[in-house]
Amino acid sequence: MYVRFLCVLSFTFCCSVCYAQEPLEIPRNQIWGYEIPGTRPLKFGRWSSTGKHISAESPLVEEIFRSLDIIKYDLSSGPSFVVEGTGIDALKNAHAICIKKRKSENMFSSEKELSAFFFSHPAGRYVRIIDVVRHGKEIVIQYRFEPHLDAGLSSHFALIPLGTLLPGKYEIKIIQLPMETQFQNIGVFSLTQKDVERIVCKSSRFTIQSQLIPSSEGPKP
Amino acid sequence: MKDISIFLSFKLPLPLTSIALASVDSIGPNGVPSSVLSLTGDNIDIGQVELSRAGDPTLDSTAASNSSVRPNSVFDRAFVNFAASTNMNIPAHAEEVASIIISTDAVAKGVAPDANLLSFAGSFVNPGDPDPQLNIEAIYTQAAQSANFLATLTTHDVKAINLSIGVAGGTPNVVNGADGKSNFTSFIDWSSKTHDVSYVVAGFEAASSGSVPADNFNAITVGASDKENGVYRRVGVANDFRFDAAGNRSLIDILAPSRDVEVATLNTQVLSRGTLGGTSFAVPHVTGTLALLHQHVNNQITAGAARFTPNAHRHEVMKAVLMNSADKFIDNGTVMFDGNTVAQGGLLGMERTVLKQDGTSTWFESDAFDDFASGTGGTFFDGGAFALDTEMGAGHLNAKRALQQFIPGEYEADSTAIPTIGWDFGTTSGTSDINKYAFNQQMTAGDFISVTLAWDRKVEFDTDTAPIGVFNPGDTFKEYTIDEPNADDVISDLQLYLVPTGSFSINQAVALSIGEGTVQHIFFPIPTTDTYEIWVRQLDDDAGAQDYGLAWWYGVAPLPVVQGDFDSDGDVDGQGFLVWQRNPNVGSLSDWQSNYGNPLVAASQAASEPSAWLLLVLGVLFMQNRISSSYISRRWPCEIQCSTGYSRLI
Repeated sequence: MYVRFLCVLSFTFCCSVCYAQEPLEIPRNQIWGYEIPGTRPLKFGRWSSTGKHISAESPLVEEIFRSLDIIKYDLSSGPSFVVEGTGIDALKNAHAICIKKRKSENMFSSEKELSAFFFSHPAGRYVRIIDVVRHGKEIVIQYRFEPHLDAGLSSHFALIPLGTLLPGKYEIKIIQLPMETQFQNIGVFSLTQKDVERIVCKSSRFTIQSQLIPSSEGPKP
Repeated sequence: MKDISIFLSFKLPLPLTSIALASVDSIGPNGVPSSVLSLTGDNIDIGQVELSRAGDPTLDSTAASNSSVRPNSVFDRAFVNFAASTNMNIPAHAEEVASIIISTDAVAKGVAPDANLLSFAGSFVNPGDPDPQLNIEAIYTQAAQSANFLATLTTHDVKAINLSIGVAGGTPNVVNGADGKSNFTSFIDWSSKTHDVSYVVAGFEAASSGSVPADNFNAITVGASDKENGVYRRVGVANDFRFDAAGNRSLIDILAPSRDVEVATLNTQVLSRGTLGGTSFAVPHVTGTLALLHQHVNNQITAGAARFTPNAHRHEVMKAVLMNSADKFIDNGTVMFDGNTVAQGGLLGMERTVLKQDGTSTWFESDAFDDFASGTGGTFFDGGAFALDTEMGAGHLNAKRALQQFIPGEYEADSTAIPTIGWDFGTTSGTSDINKYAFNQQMTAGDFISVTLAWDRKVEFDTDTAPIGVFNPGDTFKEYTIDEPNADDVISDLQLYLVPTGSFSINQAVALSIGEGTVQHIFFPIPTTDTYEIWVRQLDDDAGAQDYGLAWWYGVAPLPVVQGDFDSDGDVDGQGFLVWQRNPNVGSLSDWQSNYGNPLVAASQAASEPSAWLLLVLGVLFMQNRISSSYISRRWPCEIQCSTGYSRLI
């Protein structure tokens, strides 16, 4: 009986350690992304000679896209944030924050599925998500810039499914990777830190509770 | 009367919806507005050089083209003899830029839909697989070679080349300031002068493109504009002014619409990129407008117009005309200057008040509003130091006003008295030479005058590999050596003065522009009712005798012909339709339908009234199909009342 109890205890301990320390990658093909290669594409309606073609999510995508205006060079971008739900539900919640100016939450229930909203403002650089990995209570989003080779601009956003999370304090870490050497080699200059701060959303924190308590004011996009 | 109102209420939302689309805004009354003109760029050759090219529906698949965007020719540097290969190197960007010039799509119409566009994939680099041997200089060299190819084609006469490019490199120019010394910028200026081609270049923008080749001297650099109260008139947030030109000159020459411009894109779709068009989408508005002006020149020469010769095609003239006709303040009697209202007509018929990026500052707050001879410090040479505004350049592109500026034709210096609006392609012979243009009428105190002078810096090969005289990879250009005044050793300095008639010295000038660079610009309130002269003075001869383009404007210009303007009041409206109804021989109703709502009055004054007229007229057209003409004839007076009634309803 005693041995059996120890076995169960050690098994439980091992599982919890694994859970805490094993990095969990969120595959890019599970991420909804606007103009981000490798992700499930979010698109908005397009005009053609036969009228405007609209899907269920397209008005939301278009409005979020338009809300991501250029940030003047003496200002900086807001933080990333978390919304309840996945897919279209998460998109609706992100839309409510970006467009309807609903305050973003920073406290969520452990029973709810969540998504992280990552975004970048218009700039002459593509923002590519390289990978998203959860290390325990850290969700690390690694991205890198790619240069435009024309005088156009681009903005990007992504809804990253986090699933349900155990209670605790979490951080979304936004990490910039160096530009690929192939671009460095052709002489493309790196952006200044100030430019990076005004283009890409910042890291942020949120809390998961087993019983949800109404949240305080959270960050705005 | 009642039945018509019901019809209007229930049947017309659809056409009104399509009319209200933002898609045609940038070429309509809220934008350039080129669509009011009876010019389409017909038979004018225009180049487009990007790293990639526009799709060609006759060569490429549906997915890689747009049936409304049909370039005359497409080229690709990656293939033998620059022959474009099916479906290769066609991203959306090049297609959308091309669409702003030549699209025939009803929703996203181009500025010059009948122009012959030659689109050249100058140096395609696949972002996922760039050639490891390639570098920024190589990209620029290839783009220059491509532009050189277009500018020297014997089968075409390319008048302007659209450069909506700007690679985020060229680090030294970004760090040290936009000095115009890079090989690519030097090429642009060399080719402008050598091939007499107008290069139209994207201005520096949000943390992205480099300052090359926006730091040119001889081309036209374009900034992006956003809408303010529905009209394109505010300096766009996409513009980035951290890297202005070296010396006391500005990168931006003129503004043009960019944000929320609807474009025809690949797979025969139409969309808006919001703010993402950047300065890329502003540039083709200018390029397309140049096509319209060149078409006007051809029409005039063909018709034997006395004051139009090939001089009118000169790139210096085109630049001066475009910049001098740019909007700064709406001329509707509301603008205050120095505590007084400027009377309507005193602001040259301009159609919008242009705001800087802060949303409040105007030309009056600009460093460039310094043309007073007394300057700000009370001494003569304090004034005139800054020709253009850092953000606005000379103001906002207005194709209709550019045509009005152009219509009177060329008037030579030191000959007959000049009219209040005109232009010249002139030459100063050397140091101290002054070309004088005496106005043929008095000017009224408080009214504004605008004068713009544009000329070239001299650029020469440093290394010129065979074939000689043509730009090839390996060719380099000499860098100028004097930085203050900037590039002084390659520029014959020209100065611009406004003096009372009979003056004998520049010290008698009432206004002046004597800044650095290759543009001078005066926008100035006449101080005393009098007659005046414009003087173009050559200060030195670092580049020898100097050709230049000069444009001037005082007062209000006659209205150009607008198709569908049957009552000749300068706009296409319901009153014109009534004229057509009474006499269908005055013109084609399709012209009226295509140009409806294109007023030649101030754009911001376009209010709900035209919509009411449109409702009336569409209603009448509908009735015509359903009711006998005799009935219409009897009911005619009543329909006037109906329109009034409907106006009240809305």
